[in-house]
Amino acid sequence: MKPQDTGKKVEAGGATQTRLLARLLGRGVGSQGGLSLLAFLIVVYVVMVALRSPDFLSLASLFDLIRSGAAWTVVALGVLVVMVSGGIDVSFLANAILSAYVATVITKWTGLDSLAFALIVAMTIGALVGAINGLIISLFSLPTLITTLAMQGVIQGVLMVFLGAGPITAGHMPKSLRYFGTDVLFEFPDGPGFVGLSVFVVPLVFAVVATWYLLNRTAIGRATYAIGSNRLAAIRCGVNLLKINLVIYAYAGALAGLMGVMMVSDIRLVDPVTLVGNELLVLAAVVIGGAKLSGGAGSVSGVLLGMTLVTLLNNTLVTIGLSASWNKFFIGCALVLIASISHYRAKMRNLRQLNFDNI
Amino acid sequence: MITRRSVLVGGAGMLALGSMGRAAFGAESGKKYEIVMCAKQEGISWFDDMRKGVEQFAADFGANAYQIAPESGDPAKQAQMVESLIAKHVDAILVVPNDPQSIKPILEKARKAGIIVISHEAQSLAGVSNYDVEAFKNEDFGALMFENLAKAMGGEGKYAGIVGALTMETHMQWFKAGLEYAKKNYPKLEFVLSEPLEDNNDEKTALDKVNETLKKYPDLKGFFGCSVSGSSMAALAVEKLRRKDIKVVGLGLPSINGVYLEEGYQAEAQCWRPADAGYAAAYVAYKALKGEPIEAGIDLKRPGYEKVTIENGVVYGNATLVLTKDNYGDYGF
Amino acid sequence: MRTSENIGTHVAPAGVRPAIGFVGENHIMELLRLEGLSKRYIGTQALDAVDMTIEAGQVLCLAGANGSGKSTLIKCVAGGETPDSGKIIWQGQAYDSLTPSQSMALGIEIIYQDLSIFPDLTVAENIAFHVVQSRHRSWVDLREVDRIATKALHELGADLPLHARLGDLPIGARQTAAIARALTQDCRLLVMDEPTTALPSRDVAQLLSMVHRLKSKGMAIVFISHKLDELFEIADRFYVLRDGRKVGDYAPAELTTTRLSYLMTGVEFKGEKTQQEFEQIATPLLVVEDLRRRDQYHDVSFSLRPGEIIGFAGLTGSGRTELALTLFGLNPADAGKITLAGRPHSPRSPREAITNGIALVSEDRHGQGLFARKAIMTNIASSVFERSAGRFGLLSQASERTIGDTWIDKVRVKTPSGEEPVQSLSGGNQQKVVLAKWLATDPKILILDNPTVGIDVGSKMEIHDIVRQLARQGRGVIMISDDLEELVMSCNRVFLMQTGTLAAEFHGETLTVENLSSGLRQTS
Repeated sequence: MKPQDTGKKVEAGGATQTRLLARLLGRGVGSQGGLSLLAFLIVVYVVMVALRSPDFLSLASLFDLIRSGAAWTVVALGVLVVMVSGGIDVSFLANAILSAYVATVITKWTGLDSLAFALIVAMTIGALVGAINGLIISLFSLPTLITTLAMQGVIQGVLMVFLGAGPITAGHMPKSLRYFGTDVLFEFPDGPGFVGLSVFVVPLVFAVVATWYLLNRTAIGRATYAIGSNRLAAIRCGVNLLKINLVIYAYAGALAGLMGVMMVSDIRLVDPVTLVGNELLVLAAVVIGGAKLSGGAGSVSGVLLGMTLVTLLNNTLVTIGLSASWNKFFIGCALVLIASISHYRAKMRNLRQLNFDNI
Repeated sequence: MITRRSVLVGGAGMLALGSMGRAAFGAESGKKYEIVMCAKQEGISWFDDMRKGVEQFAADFGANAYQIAPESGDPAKQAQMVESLIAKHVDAILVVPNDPQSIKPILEKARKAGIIVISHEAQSLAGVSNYDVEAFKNEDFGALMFENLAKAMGGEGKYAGIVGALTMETHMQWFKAGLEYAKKNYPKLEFVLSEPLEDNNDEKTALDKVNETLKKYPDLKGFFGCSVSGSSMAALAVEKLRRKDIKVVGLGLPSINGVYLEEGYQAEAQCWRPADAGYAAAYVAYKALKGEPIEAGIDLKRPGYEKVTIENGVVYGNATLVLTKDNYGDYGF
Repeated sequence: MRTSENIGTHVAPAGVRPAIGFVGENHIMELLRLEGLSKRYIGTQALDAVDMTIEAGQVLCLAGANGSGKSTLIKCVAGGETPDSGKIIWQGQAYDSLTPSQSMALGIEIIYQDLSIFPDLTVAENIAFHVVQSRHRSWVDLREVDRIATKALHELGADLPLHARLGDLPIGARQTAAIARALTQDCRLLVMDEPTTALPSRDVAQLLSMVHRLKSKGMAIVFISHKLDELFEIADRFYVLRDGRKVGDYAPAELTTTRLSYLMTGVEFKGEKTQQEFEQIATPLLVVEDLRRRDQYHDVSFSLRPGEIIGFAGLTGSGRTELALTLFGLNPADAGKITLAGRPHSPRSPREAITNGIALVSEDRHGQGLFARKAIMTNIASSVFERSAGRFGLLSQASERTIGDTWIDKVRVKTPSGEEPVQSLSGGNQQKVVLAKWLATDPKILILDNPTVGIDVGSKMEIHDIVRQLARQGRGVIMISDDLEELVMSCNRVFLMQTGTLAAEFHGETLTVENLSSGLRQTS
């Protein structure tokens, strides 16, 4: 067989085949399909709630959803970046409360009662703690779960033992933080009260844009996908794992710090024992949004949709008259559904290529 | 069962005799009684206030009474601390347990060692400890909470409320007694939910749930919170919606709910004073050490504890503290 | 990654550099010379004073069995390994050793067998990955990424959908992307480690034509493959390594596949065409009649007798693998009849097929449920235990060892002990473990899909030997292969499959590599 004989014909055939395949699968592929399904689920759920309680379809509900979900979404975006790299972070909520606690104390102590100052302090501390995570993971090649789990313990220990942290109550919180949680961008009257869009939308938009840019338009972001996609290949291509890990864990930490300040302002209480324990809820939202535990996949729009679903499930149970336990049931169902569907899609894709590995 | 109980009673009697002997010895030699309060946690204002009560007692009675607590609210650490008190052979241990079930065997051990044990906020330990001291009967506390709510609402209108969890016995006792009281005395009040909301002692959950409820029932006039997180977050939700027309009452602390009382987002908060509870518990222990009778009607020398009642090993005061805009500043817990 | 000096000069997202332009006709330019390269690991001399020379515009085939030192040699050139002694001379400049970034900066690119691509990134991003990551600016210009990818693909004469997720494309497309990526790095020397192992035959042809194209542009290529016929198609020069020593370098004209096998292994294989040495018993094991599955195959009829080995040749997509999967219960037929030892057989699951005595050893070793980190004996025994788990409940170490040792011996797995993990074995020996695992279930019919892909010559002959023995014991074997020589050597009859039907049958006198190959050519 001489390649000259068949080469041209075969080449042409191969090209048409791949082109056709690409057209079938479209740009961005699989994950996009998953997201439209998720969006569909959200719409179906909203319609269901609205059927039981027509008042639900209102601007007020949308604004409530944004205020309630904003802080969680901010921290989830940091988690997304880590998960894209194939890692997992469970220290983010401990980091958030540590950052917020120290920021509150420093703000009170220096008398610099400014929101910007508190945010800078919190995000710096968060980023430092995150960078330590990244450093340990890179230097000792430790599993990310173990490292961040240990970090979670260390942070809580630091809070309890070294800082002797009792809660800082509403009366003792700096004014700037107290009103960060109640301020609105704009408002209009509504019945006996009013409807307003929480200022939380500002850090939310900031985190969404920054994360999207980091992941999609920077060399580091693309390298993050590469590491999650094929770690060995990334190393062979000369990707600097230490640098990438430092950046992504510090970034996740900074967002945790931001989230911490949002959260304590929202509930007007800085208590070291709050937050921690909700990590799996955030991870679930990120996974529902299309991120894979093995890395390489996940998107900002996925996190937004995943968080929207989780927040919706959380904040509509009273409206449809179910007890709080249903929340976990629904989130569990959503997880199973999304996981099954993405597995099914992968299976169908493999079937087309006659690969029977995962049957 | 019967034989076992009689053995237990007999044992308790012998123990009581034993401790009387020790008490007599202590009095003779002029030795100060060592009475130690082992609280839930260090560094929180509630137990800082309780320490004041224990120290006040020490000053009043010339006893060596003081308070210790684990850094974190860790049941295992607390158990360890009680163990070391047993080893030290103090005269009396006062305890506010983080986990009544897990500390039970250690308290039994203390009793066997002849140490007087007084518990607080742990009615289930009555019988294990010599006495459990409570500031009030739960039924009374719940009825008072709903009485205050009804008054704040002007005796009529719709209301809703939140508890820590439907499985929390104390909160549910308050709620049930209060609901019954309200039905009987304020027929124009209407509880709009089939059962109270749950916050699992998490502020964020409480805030979101209250907010959602206030949105779903825009004509709501009142809201009660059986947990501190529930009542304070209800007040915060009311503040965020600028709906001072919704009256919030419930369990609350000056340090946490004070802001909302001050600014008018919470009508009233109820609690009991930890200093007084600590003082009263120490006094019961002191009386037991001295061999003085502990019976209904005795005066424990603190407001609300002047004429206690005793049922099944639980000493009840009538010491509910109602906090308002005007008085919350008097208390530092 | 490149050093900063180099970035300055190579900023243009270029494929094959202009430097290659001055390689005039008949002008031979030495690119890389290895002198007396040695490397010793504990216990083995991986490389023993190896010399080698590669010229620009030359395809050099590195041939050698597993453990011959090929991988070590490549690692020394790629910069992953430091040689104990010897020199690496690149365009006249001598180095004792190279670091990975040095090697890349010189223009040496390695395409590993696993391709090292990023399945979750797009085609364009995969191709432009090096360029984007070595930039000093932090943001990514997507149009530039597309431009780089388009240019590199153009150099290759290939066409891929730039914005498709690479993991969604067939293996051939992934390989093309991997090569295109190498071209963005001013590549002068491209090392391809078993590039055709996982490739369907259609894509192999395309790959070889790409290699020709790169060669004609003056790039030097080191090509490693176990498929000897491929090597003969493209090689300008053969370097044969054995046990870390250079056996010699040869022009293709000096060699035949048999001679090359001998040079690589030092063993003379009698393995030319063997005579069919068994009686054909009347009752067939398997009869297939008018089998059809929409869009895959139709009108397929054949029978398999005990002791018989029948082969299926054909391009990927001709329906051969699909047919095998049907017999194994993974791809149910729409119509037609399968009779197994006189009884109708239409398996809906592999379990059913296995119970009925059918085993399938597929092309992809890694998808075969080998537990790479578990002991060899555990792997072999696993298929048996799976079947009898209900009775035993627990796995007994002793019986595991018995089963393991028996089969390690029978299929001649080269290992110090059955307790070694499977991943410590070479590809050939891993394939023997797969075979053993299935044979332990005592199948009546064994279906082999490309059983010797990516396996060195020595192990390949051994596997053929085992297969023939199995047939002699009265089993039936169905062998699907792209390796025509393998089919001719082992099979009694070979069917040529073409667009879903059995287009021709070759047996006896007509069963020759030439006939099969011309049949295949007509197909394409």
